[in-house]
Amino acid sequence: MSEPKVLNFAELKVGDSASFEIDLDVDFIDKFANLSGDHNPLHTNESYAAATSFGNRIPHGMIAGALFSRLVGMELPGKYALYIGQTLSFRKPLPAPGRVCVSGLITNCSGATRTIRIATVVQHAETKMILVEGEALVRVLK
Amino acid sequence: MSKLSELFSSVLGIPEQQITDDLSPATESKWDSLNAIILITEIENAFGVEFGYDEAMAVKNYGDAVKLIQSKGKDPYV
Repeated sequence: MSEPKVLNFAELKVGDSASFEIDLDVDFIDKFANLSGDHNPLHTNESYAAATSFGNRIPHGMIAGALFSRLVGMELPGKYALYIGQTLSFRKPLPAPGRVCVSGLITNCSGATRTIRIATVVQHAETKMILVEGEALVRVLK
Repeated sequence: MSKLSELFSSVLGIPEQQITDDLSPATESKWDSLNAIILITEIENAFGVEFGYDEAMAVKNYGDAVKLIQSKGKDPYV
């Protein structure tokens, strides 16, 4: 198991960023379906999904939420993160199979509340097309 | 009514008439951890002040917010 980065509030500033890439596939979708209990056929049923405008199974949009959790909890700021809030806009379906890039950019640091705002984005790793975006509000505990 | 009470009313979604010096997270459930952060940052923006972490964390009710703003040389009742 990898260890989270250890960044305290004083070490963070506007413009700091972090990112990672990850491969998505139908196995990832099935695991998320089991974890969340969301077995909507658009995500889990090949024949049903094939008859929709998407043409095949698409990942749950909230997988992006899970990836943002990894970004905040492991990378930016890592160990001392306390997630307060997250907005999400699902622009396009996540690819499966496909590789995505998950990134975050600090846009605001509040010393009074020791919170940071992070612009969070999931992009297609190759085309760089924005698939999901939002904003994280995170308290930094130290 | 004042800029500060309008701000609290807007963030917490409660009528200004309900805002007294004793208003606190204990008396108003909408004053939760997320809104506590929003309140502090909105007060900083509205009054053009910056608070230290210890100052902000010492705000336990509306009356404390009034005193904190006054300590920065600003009038919370404008």
